[in-house]
Amino acid sequence: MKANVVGSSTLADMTIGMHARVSKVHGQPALRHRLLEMGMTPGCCVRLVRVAPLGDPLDFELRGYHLSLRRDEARNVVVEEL
Amino acid sequence: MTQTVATSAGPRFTRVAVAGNPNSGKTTIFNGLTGMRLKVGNYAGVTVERREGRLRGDPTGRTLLVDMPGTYSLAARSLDERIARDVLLGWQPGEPPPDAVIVVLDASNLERNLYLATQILDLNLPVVFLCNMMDIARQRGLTISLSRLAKAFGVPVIPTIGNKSEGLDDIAPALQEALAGPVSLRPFCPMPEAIEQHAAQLGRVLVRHRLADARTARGAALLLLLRPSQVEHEIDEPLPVEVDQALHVARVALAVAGFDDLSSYLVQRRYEWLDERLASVIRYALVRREHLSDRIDHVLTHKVFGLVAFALVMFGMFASIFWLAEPAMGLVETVVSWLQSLVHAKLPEGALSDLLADGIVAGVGNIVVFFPQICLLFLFIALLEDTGYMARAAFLMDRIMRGVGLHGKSFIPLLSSMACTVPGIMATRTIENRRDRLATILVAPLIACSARLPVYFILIALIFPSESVWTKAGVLAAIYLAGILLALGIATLLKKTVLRGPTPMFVMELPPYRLPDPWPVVRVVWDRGRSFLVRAGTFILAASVLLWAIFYWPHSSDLSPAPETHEMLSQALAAPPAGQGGAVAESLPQTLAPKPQALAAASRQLEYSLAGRLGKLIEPAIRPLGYDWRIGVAIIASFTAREIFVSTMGIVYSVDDAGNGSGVLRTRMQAAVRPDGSPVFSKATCLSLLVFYSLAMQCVSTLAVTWRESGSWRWPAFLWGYMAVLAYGAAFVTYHIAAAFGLAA
Repeated sequence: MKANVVGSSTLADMTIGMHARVSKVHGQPALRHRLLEMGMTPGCCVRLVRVAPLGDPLDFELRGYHLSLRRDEARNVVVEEL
Repeated sequence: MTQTVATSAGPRFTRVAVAGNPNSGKTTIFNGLTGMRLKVGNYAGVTVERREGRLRGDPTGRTLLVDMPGTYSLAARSLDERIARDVLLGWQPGEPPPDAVIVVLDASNLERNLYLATQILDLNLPVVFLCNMMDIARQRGLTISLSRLAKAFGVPVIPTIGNKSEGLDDIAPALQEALAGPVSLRPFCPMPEAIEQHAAQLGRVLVRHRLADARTARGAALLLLLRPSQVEHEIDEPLPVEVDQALHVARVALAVAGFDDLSSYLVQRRYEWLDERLASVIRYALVRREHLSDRIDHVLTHKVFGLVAFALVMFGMFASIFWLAEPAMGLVETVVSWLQSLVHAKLPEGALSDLLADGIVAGVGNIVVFFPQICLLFLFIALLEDTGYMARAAFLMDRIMRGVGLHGKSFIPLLSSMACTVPGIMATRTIENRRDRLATILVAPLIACSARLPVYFILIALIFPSESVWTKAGVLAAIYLAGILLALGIATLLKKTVLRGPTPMFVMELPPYRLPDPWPVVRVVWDRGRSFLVRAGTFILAASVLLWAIFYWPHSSDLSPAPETHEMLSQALAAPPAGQGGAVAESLPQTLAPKPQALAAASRQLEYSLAGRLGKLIEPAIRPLGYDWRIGVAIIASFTAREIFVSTMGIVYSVDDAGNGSGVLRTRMQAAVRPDGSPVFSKATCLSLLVFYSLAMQCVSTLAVTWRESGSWRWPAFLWGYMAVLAYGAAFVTYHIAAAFGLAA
């Protein structure tokens, strides 16, 4: 998994209830491809809905549905806070 | 694999594929469209379920619907995606390409659903869109203009509410319209010039190899370009060399032209195109309304209540499996013993009646006795899946499963294995990644299943004859815990060696909660249960007959004058594999109260038979574990099912209440001595046996199911081998450590 991109926040840094806009998707090709196919494309709006009881994974809402990602995976999606 | 070729689909049938995202309500729609008469099987060579049925209310009566696996894409990144793509392109063996496609769309989530739909539209087949779950979309404040949707994509759009069967009648006419309409070759979602050129070039190669025609060439080429190169050889069948080369050339050329991350570009381009189109199709309510499903999730995935609810659901599931399955299993056992005595009573005494009663009836009984438990477990799994809770279980447990390199989805199959490994292994079908699925299958048998309980009961009673019930319960709990920890440990090891691979990504949809439809649930339970009976059953039956033979031959009639002898033996072998503690006890003695001399004769026949001789043959090998030949016989006998250990011991020690751990059998076993006067069942030997029975692969049903689910005999062989080595090694160490503490005397 690619480390946090310096100076920008990622999906993993969001707090519950926060909205953000995806600006870039990094990560291993397989993960990046999968995230994009699930609609996590640059420009798309995302909200962090909740965190699993054991602290991971995270539950995001985007494009009208819920997608859960692990923190390690969420770290690959660079977002702008809204 | 049977039923893969649609025999009823002659050239006059119109074949329609039903495609859609997972959780789009596709299965409900498919059931509504076809009714009850379905043909259920697997796609050739894989365990992906294939369902086929005739379209109801179709005036021609010749429309055949084929259900495709639910996928988000046709990129062939997973097995399901590969099958979906191959069905549409006619690349799936025995599966002609469809004449039309019904695409089921979740109206509350159109963008992501249309991503798949546009990949299908690119293949230029006649398409009908079903805009499903319109009611939920409305509740969520979405206004969808169906006429604009139809216009934007150039296909008929039917609004449906699958679980209320609304809109289903309009589908047949729409299909006719789509089939009669002209085939447009206008590209959907046009790509930049360079990509179009290379796609056209690749398309021509595909046409030359008859992998596509003029209509599908561009779409098929785009799908191959989309397929990430690193997964190609793991899931996908190899392409013809020339196609592979053309694909490589196209990728390299496009990378030079600036598309160095081609697959990401293709996905993004499609979503951009969709977002533009949909701007005029969907209107969102200004105020975001919280859906009921979100409110349920506040509780069910809550930090505290979520875990409590999860524990309750799991506990409730197991409690009801034990509670509901037991009477059904008792019934199966009664019927089996009744049939056996019937055969013995009606047929002349001899090998034939023995084979029939003790080999075949007992063998069939061994299979059928699993059936209630398996069906119940499948019922619960189907309910968890259809309500949407299964995804939450994975969400809640992923943190733990990730630690051993697995996915949260491995949790339920492993947990189910506590009831019975067989449905546990069959439940791994929801795991997408093949390596992770195999890792889960290979460690599931380490989790203590209910069939081991009778063996545990008697051994624990021997080791702790006078300790309190609480001590014994504590030991039993420790054994279960050890099984779970060992399974997780071995999973980690497998993922680092034989099944090396990265921890699977989690990226998983959390579908909204839904009330499950009863009919599809019943249907799934029946199909899976039947599939177990038919496929795994034949294997188990063969093994049971073989086992019967080695206990029967060589046969010495003068050793066994009483006819009851073989019934005793047969009942020992037919002892039900699911064994809820008392189950064995019930089956053994009730039907005939055997005379002591018959028991003794059975015991002598055992020693005389091939099984007895094998026991003596392997004695040198098992002596280091603290076992004698009689235990060897029990180990051989329990190859088909573990609890046979108890009934075999019953014959060896001529006891007729073998299932009762606190009874005569325990006393006799305690009193048994070796030629040198030392006890056979010393504490060290019992501890060693406890370890051996926890770890050895002594369940022919599990092997049969592993063989079926992995599609190769190598994996069950590996499973048996590694567990044998583990069991032998651990039992050896246990025995010698215990002996060092003076427990061998």
